[in-house]
Amino acid sequence: MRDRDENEWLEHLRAEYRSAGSGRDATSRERLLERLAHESAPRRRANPFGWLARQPLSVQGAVACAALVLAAAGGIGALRRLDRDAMRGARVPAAPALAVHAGFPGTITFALRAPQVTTVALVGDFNSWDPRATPMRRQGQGDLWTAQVELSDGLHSYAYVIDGADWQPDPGAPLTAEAPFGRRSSIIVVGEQGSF
Amino acid sequence: MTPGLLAGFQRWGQPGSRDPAGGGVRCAGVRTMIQERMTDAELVAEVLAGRTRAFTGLVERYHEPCLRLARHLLGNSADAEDVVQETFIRAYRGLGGYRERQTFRAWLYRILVNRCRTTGKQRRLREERALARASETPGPRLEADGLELGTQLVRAMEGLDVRSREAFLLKTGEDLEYHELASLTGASVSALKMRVKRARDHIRARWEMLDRA
Repeated sequence: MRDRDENEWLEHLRAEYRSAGSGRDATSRERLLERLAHESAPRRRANPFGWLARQPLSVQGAVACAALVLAAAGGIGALRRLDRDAMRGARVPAAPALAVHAGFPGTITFALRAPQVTTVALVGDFNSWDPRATPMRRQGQGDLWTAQVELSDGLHSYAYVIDGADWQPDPGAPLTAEAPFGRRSSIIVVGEQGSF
Repeated sequence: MTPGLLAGFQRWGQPGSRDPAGGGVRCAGVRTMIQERMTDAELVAEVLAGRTRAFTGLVERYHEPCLRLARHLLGNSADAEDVVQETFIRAYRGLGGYRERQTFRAWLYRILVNRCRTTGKQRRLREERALARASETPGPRLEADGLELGTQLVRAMEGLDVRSREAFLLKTGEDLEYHELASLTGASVSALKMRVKRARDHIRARWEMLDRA
């Protein structure tokens, strides 16, 4: 009898646990997929210590291995520093901006015509694809929505979130980013020659 | 997963391949159906072979359970959402280091639980500082626990230690096996059974108290 009560209570508890939600799950998933779309593809890493499990290891061998690993780690660290320094110096070539215009240097105005919608938000790699970060403003009572953001020189991808759930690329942008996760976004290039 | 379906999925999206469904929406539906039939290990292998779209299948499968678990561990939807985003990004970046001796979901939940612990600690620190400041200058009362997910389960878990809470939710809420829990937490199966029992007794007692209230 007590077991039956316990099981009934656990089922009730499980049902409450599974029904708890905030109603933002779909938006959160879309945001995640957008962020993932800009990650580089993962590659299988070989386990460098896998062979140790299969080999008898002497004390001298252990010391030699430790020295080798330390030397390799130092070398990799130096190479990564060099790589970072090289990346800092690199600049993305400038190209004409798309469907948007620049005000002050670095300030970009995004504009979208969207009739019969309640909210529009701008998302992109510059705001971590967060629909809460950059809501767009309706101009008067019309269907024009705008938002201004500060963007650094270089290439940025972005999209619009309509009514909190519908992710759309910019219809006026001729370039779209690769969409490995099935969501399309648009591209803007910001630079001295790219803005107008 | 049948070999034919797997081969179809692998051809899909390759250079020179044609969309067999002839339309974006239908094709997305076919892809989703194929992904639903693949095991976690097959989806992981697809991603590591360069067909990164397969990761969507893992997101579709585990996003909601992760969000649910994080909400109950943290008691706060906004924090939970951020933690789940970070968890999947870390999992994707670290997928090359995943080994199949552990199930994918146990591996993913381990990342999630660690992120929840870190976020929980940071939040407690912030709240302690805010409370200390508030006690120096009288002002509006601050919520000490910062909890917003006011379900009976969250309230019944108050006062329960973090590790027992984790073990209980993973076992009872997410139906993980004890061996998966052991690989996730590093604790022994017998210790985990004790944690789950302790948590169940605590929650049951508080649950009944809340019912009476």
